[in-house]
Amino acid sequence: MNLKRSIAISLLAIMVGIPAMAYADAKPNIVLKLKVEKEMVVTDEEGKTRLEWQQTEDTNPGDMLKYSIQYTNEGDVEAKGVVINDPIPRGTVYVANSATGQDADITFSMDGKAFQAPPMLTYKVRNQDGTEEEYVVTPDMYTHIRWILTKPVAPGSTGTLGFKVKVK
Amino acid sequence: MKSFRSKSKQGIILLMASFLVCLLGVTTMVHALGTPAGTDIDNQATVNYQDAGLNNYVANSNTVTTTVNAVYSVALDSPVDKSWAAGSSDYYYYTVTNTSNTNDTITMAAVSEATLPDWAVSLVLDDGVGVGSIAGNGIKEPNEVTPYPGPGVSLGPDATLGFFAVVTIPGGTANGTTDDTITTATGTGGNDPDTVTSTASAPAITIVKSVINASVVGPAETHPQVATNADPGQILEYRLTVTNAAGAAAAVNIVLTDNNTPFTTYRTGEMWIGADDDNAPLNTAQDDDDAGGVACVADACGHGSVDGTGNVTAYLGTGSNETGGGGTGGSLAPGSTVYIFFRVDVD
Repeated sequence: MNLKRSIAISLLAIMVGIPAMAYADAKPNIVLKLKVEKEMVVTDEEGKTRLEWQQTEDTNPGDMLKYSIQYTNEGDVEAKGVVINDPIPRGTVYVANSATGQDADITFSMDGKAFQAPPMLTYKVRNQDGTEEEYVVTPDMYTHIRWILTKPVAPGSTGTLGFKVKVK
Repeated sequence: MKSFRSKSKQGIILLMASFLVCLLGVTTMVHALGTPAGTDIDNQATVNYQDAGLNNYVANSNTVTTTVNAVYSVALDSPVDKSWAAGSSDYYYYTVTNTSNTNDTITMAAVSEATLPDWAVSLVLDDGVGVGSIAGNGIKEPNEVTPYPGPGVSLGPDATLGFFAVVTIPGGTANGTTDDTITTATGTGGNDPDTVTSTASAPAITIVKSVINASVVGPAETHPQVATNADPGQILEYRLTVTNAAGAAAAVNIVLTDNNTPFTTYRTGEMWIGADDDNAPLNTAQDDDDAGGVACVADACGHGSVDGTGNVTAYLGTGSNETGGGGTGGSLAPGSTVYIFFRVDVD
């Protein structure tokens, strides 16, 4: 009788403990997939041309590039406080008003440390006489973009962010 | 473009990012075609997030790389057109710039559009090679003679090279004649031509001869400067108007000759040369002595004489003088005029 009870208690403990252990290991897992496309002129069969974004591995000065960041929560639980940072690539300049992203606050930086939404991002210039003048940072001066997602990312959820640059 | 925010608004503006930028010593690097060829444009995004327990996580995206292609182009500037004396050379100073985003070899060619006689053109580097020469100063010193290399010159991105297109206007080319010289810079990505127009500057002397009957017309001031009838024994006064056209080159060594007019006889001592186009005796200096004197110090001046058969010879302009049996012609600046009057009796 005691042996049967002991076995029963042990089985119950296993049945309850396994899910508890599994829950304890549950994590969010945000995976980012980045791609770059170039605006290309495509000619159709009728000889008409149109602009089309195509993935590319090379570019020319003056080309427009579009970066797309796809985020996916491949974890078991939702991710909170999701912040995605992306530097403006060297050799390029950010295209004004090109940053996109649903349910995201988009901010910019000119040093990768302090971020603000335009036109709150400013800098100061010290004149020779010691006075300072304040200027709004223009889009071509941006060095980093930050997306702060305003909602948690549920398991299996995905979204896309993006921005464009022009190759110097 | 930058926008300025007044200090009065500073108090209400949230300054999350302020940076001090020292303007002194800032230099702007201008890249004609920007990012150098072969540059890898890398990008990688980063995500930070938390779970329900506020545990922090960080993850990176894949890295995407885009490589910048070589794009070739060349730019040649355009000097202003010029005018100079026929029979001499002048130059146009050019700068050629490799506006590619990589090294390129730039060749240069120049041709004259003139048909024969050809206006010779040569390309010479502003390299400072040669005694007294300075590289890159835009001035062609006499000893700066290195030809622009036929195979071309290798220039880095944005590098500039100065050279001269030396054009020679053939001697004897008429005043105002023009020729286009086309100079073309060629690189891997194409070419950039420039055309300059050269204008020959040469003396443009005109001679107008007129006559009045000095025996019958009225006071000197009213003499009509037109041809007229004359009776035997009456006096004719000839006027020769010698002008170098405005805009022409200075004329030098000016010697005027006028052959004897048939059925007339020169009146000894009645020759005048000077600046006034009115009656000769009143306004011009008498000169028919066929002898040395003081060289003229003005354009409207000269020395002349008439030989025994009535042929007129006059040495005209600044620096002119006359010696027995000969003389030295002077110079007339553009726009200058000198008058010669002489009188004859009608036979």
